[in-house]
Amino acid sequence: MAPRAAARLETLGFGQVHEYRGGKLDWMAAGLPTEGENSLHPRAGDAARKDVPICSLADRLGDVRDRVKAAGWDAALAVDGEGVVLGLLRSKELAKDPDLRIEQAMRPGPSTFRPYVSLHEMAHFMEEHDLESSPVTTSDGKLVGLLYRADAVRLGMPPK
Amino acid sequence: MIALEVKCEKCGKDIDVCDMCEDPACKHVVCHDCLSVALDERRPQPHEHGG
Repeated sequence: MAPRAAARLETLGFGQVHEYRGGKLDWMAAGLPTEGENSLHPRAGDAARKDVPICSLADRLGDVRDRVKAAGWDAALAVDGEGVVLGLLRSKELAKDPDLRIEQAMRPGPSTFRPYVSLHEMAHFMEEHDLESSPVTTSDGKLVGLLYRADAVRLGMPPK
Repeated sequence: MIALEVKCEKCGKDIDVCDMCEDPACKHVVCHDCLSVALDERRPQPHEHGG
């Protein structure tokens, strides 16, 4: 479709037409703006909390836990230097031996979701699976934020 | 070797753990493929070669 769409745009007089090989989903996964009726529905990226605490693999768990609690959070994400999510620490992981390194304490390779995922669908799945929070990342794994079920339900589910 | 111990509730595929919650005791196990299609993260292809 993309090459044909590009060709059609050229026939309409657009001079600078490029094919975006990643496609529309990749564009949306990067949290970039969209137009149209679908863009009016709330998405995971809209509700994900961007200020979630982050840490690195070599950090000491006790230090991270203190920082997380002081900031009023109950979860943190381990990321590399590029912001790629490597692991998740929820309350259970944060409660482990404080002398562990993050690499030893975290849940490695957690399930992550793209920013364009419908909040309604996410709320449904998070409720069904009793999941308190889920990381939201771009398609190349970079952290967007942490989506809490309470936020997904509040914004994605119609009031009963 | 990975032990494939649960089945996806939607397609019946054997997987090691639910892709949504990673809880070994999950009662609504869903595989990565079914979850990503359900969340519209990916569009199902009509054929393996992409249609």
